[in-house]
Amino acid sequence: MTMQALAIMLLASFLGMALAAVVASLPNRHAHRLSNLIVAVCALMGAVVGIFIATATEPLILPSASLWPVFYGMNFSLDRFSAIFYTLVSGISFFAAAYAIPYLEQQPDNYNIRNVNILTAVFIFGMQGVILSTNIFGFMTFWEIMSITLFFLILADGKAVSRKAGFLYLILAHLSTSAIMAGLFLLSGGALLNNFSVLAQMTADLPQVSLFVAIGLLIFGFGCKAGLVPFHVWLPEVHSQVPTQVSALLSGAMLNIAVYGFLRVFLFLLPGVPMWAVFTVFFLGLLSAVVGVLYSVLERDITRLLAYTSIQNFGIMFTMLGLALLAGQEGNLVLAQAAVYAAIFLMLAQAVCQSGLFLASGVLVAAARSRRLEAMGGLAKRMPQLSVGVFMLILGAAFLPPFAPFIADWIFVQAMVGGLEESSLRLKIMILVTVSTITFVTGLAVFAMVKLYAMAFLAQARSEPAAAAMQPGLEFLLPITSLSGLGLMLGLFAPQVLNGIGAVGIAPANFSQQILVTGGGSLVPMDLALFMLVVVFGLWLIRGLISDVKLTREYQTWDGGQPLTPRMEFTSTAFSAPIRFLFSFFLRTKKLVNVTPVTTHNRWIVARSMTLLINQVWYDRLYVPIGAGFTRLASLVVRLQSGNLQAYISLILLATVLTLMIAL
Amino acid sequence: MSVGGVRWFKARLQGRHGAVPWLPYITYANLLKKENVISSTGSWMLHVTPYAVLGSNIFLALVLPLVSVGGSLTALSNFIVVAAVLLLSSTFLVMGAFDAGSAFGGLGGSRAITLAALFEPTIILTFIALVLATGSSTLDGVISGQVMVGGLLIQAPYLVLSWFALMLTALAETARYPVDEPGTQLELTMMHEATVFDYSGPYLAMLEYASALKLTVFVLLLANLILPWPILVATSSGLTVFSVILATLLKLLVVMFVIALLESSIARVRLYRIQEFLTSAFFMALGGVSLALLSRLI
Repeated sequence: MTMQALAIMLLASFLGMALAAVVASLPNRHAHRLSNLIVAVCALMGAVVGIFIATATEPLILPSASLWPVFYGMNFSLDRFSAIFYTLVSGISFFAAAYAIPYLEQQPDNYNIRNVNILTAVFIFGMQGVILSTNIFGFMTFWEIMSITLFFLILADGKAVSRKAGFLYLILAHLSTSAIMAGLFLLSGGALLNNFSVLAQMTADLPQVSLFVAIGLLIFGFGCKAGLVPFHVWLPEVHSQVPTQVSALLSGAMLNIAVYGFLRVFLFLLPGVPMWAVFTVFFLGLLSAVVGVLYSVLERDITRLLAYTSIQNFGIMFTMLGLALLAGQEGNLVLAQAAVYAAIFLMLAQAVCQSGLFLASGVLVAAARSRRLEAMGGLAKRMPQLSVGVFMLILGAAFLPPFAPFIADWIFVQAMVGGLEESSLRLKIMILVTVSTITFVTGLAVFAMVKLYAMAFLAQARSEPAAAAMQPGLEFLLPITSLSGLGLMLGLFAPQVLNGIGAVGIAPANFSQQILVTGGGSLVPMDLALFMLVVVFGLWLIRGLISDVKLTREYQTWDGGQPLTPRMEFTSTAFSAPIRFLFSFFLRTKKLVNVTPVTTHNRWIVARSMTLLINQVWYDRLYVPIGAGFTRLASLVVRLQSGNLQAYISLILLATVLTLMIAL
Repeated sequence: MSVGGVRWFKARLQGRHGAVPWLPYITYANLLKKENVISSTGSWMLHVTPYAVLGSNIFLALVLPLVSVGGSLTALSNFIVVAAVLLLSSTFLVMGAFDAGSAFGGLGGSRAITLAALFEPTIILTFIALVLATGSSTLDGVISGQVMVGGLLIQAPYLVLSWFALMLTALAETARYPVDEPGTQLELTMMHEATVFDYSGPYLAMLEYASALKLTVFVLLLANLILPWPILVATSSGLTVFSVILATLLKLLVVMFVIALLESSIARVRLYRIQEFLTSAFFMALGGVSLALLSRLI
């Protein structure tokens, strides 16, 4: 395809989102379907252009931006690096829009469909704009569009909980946006319209102090947006309040925009990253991975569980990036490159798995009429097709072979082991810490995912709505199962994908070859999957030969004489008990057992109920004190506002004198 | 084979006569003939689990350097892949345990997956020490590089910590003492037994065989780290094949005796004290890696 055709398609996929927002606002009963259709078509187009540019050698520069007065001073282009993100955002938007058509029609009471459609389209428009922008002015404008529309999307169902989540988000989003803005202003010296490439040359002669402040602000800003611990508190709250397809967009696209911003600044703009910043990124990543996975093991609310899984995945990604920066500074370029590509591949993989799981959670929540895992159960029997699709996503999210997240994990661990011998003592220690932590996290991720699937899909239904659940229609199944297929394909064709985006050190230069090589090890994902399949198939054949398959009957589970009810099933609280116990020093959960006597004459006949309190350590220890501090400060300010005119005048005088003293 | 052997040795050590070592095979044959009763609560997962669990253990048995090295599948014995396939088999086992809907399945499943998940770092670190010592990132390469020169543990005595870490992992993964009691009749103390509680007939045979196979795999891996010779290579003649089979049996017998001795002399640890076992295994593995790194420096 020619560059011109690609440019037109790119522009169409970008401006089409704005068009979709306009269409969605029309007072027509087809507006909902039409606007989501436009979003889906444009997103698909965007993904195609993204794939072309990501595998091409030269960037695509949109010339038309200067012609449009609306985009005053902004420039748009797509280079090989940003094209990966553009493909990702557009691809996830396609699935989200396809899912939104039936999903929103099902929920007319919960959401104002028109508003949700307008906001979602603008949200995607903002995300695409961030990626396309090549100067700070455009980057920050679209960043703000993206952040603000998400705030209104949280409020979409108008509930009090949503308002609370919305304001928590608004505070943190504002802090992060202003930190990023301040950081970028410091880097650019106020030149907002310079292209990033010009900016990269300017940052070389910045004074140390402003570089220090800028880097600190940027780590906070992007870390907060990516949901790194301890700035993550907004993420679980927001995920449980926004409409499902927005949840998928949030985890599959918006968090990745934060990674994009981080990489754009730290890899392309900064002259070099100081050691303290490298270690900050590295430890924030490790902390997020561990905290994320422990809380996802504990959580009993499906959307919050998945939100913590996102936090865990982004923690792993930032650990990879931190280690890459460290290895780069130590001169171990092979490890640095492998870690960056592992992070990018994990980002793609997690986007596919997480958004698929979020979309599925919408179906499950609608069926069980509750977000609690303990109100689901038995859905594999009622929704067999969906359950197979979700099972594949679960295996993917649990870092099990041969799905895509496993491949990212493999590249990272293998590269680290390969780089272990030639590295300095400091890097050796870091690698050992990382390997132990990452394998610990991926191990527990299996636990969390097994819990999710076992509670939601297996055994008996735990509530009446879940028992009456019906198989969702094809319009729901298709987006979810195609995402699970995509997760598998991405794993199987990982060498080709990595080769396409230029990871020549990991995938061979020959595009058709099916092998990953790094750190002295190699893996052929296709062989692995095929051999696993052959073994299981062979087993199936042999079993058919040596024993009579027809000799099977169904019978109730052995119950010891008392019929089994769903209330006797193992609950998700009980399931996580061993982990809760082993990590009680950190998690500090509280168990309250209520004992109420049933009869007066026998004290052994009692009714017991148990409540488990999950402490939000960060929220209680960090955010609540800060909030209390601000309230105290505000109450001090109130004393000044006494209404006494003389006091105000003396304050003004004081301020003037101070200003003059500083100025002169 | 290995399960029966351990049982027989154990009975002898405890002063009982004991059943014949090949009793498990008779049990499997009997189970295969029996009717397959499936819980009506369960979904397709109940039917997939036995194939997936046995399949992943056969995968490991074929890929790992147990009786032969240098086969065509050896590229798949990458240490990360091996650890992941182990975890995959536990995942399916637990899913199947849950699906029948009894509380025992859930209990066993929750414990089994906790162990499998928390042993993941130990397994990876142990393998990393082996990889560092030999410079090959497939386990096949780890063993086959040593065939001519004698056992890895004799060549690199500093790996002894890793070897012990691997043994502790093996005990946990195969549900032996002190983590689980394989002979238990009491549901509340079960881990592995509880996960196969609601299976019967051929499916039970498959799951039991899978667990026995896993034990054999670990036993031979541990033995081959000490003494890989004799082992099959592509050029082996008929006579070597015979000696390899004999040697493998001998290796199995020795390790089975060791396990039986261990099981007869120690008590099962409370579930909530497993973390001590776990942490000691982890730090042994970490110590193994550190020693391997140090030995490279000298």
